[in-house]
Amino acid sequence: MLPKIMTTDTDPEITRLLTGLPDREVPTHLWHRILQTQLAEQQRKSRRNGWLAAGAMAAALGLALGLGLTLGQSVDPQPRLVVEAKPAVSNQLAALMQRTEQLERSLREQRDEFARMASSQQQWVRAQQAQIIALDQSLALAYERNESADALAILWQRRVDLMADLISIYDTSGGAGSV
Amino acid sequence: MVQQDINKKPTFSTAVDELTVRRAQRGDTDAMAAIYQILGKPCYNLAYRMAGSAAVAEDIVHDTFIKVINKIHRYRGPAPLWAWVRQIAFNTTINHLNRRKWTAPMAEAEQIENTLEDPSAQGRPLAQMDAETLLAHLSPQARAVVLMHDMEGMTHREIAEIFEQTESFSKSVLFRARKQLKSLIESTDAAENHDH
Repeated sequence: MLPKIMTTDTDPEITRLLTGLPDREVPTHLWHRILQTQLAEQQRKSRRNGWLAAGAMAAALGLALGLGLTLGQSVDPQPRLVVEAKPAVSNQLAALMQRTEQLERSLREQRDEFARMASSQQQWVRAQQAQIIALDQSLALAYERNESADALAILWQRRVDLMADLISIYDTSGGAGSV
Repeated sequence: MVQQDINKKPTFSTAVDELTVRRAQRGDTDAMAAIYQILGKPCYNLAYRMAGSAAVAEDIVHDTFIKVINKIHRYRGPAPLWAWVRQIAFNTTINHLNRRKWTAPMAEAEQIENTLEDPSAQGRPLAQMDAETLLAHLSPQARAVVLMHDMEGMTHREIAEIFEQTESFSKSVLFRARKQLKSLIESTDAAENHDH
C-alpha cells in the first residue's frame, strides 16, 4: 500500500474548494497589448535584419573594391544583397547606396587605367582605397550597433565622396568613364 | 478520501479546431485571436490563482501569448493545443514567480492572516471566507502545485519537470498544502457552526 504522501486521492472538501474558485474575466485591452508588443518586436527584427544585410553589403562592396582595384581583378556586384537591404533603409540611405553602386561600376570600367598612372597618382589611389576600406569597417560597425539612419547616412555620404574623389583621379589620368 | 475523478477536465481543456491551428501557424492574426478567445481566459485565471495579482496575471498572459505566437509554427502535437499552451503558461508563471522569489505576499493572504487572528478586524468573518481567500493562504509554490495537480490534473512528474525538481518535491508540497487547506476548511466550518 502506498504511504499517504504517495496517494493520488484527493479530498472532496478540497475538490469543492477548487471548483468554487471564481472565474475572472480577462481585461479587454490585453489582446491589443499582446498585438502591439508583437508588432513592435516584428518591426525591431525587420530593422535589425535590414541593417545586417546592408552592413554585409557594405563590407562585401568594400572588400570587392579593395581587392578588385588593387589586384586588377574583375569583381561583379552583388545585386541580391542590395535588393534585400533597400526596404529597411531610408530613402536617403538607399539613394546613397545606389550612388555608391554607380561609382563602383564606373571604377571597374576604368581599372585598367591604374597601370598607366604616374606612381604619385597610384600612391594617391591606394591611399584613397585604404580610406574606403576603413570606412566600410566603420559602416559595418555602425550597423552592428544599430546606429541611427542619420549617423549611417553621414558614413554613406563620406563613402560616396571618397569614391567620387577616387574617380576624379582616374578622370584626370585620361580615363573616359564618367558617372 | 475519494478517488480523483479522472474524467474531470482541467480548466484549459477546450479544443481548438485544426484549421484554426494551421491558419495560426501560417501567421494568420485572426486565427491567433480565435485561439486567444478560447484559451486566454483559462490562462488568465490560472495565472491569477497562482500569482494572486491581477497585474501579474496580465503580464503572465501577455508573455505566454507572445511565446505562443512566436512558437506556434513549431507545434506538432500529438498533445492538444490547449495542453501545449498550458505548458507554456505554467512555465511563464513559474518564471514570473521565481523572479519574485516566491516571496511576494498576496493581498488576500495578508487579509486572511489578519482575519484568522481577529475575525472581526477585517469585517469579514472566517465562516464567509471564499475559496480564493482560503487558497491564497498557501505559499505561492504550494498553491501552484495544488492547482496543477488537483485542478489541472497534472501528474507529479509533469509538475516536477516544470519546477525542475524531483517528483518527491511535488508530492511533499502537495501533501503539506492539502493538510493546510483541510485545516483551514475545518476552522471555517467550526466558525460557521459557532455563528449558527
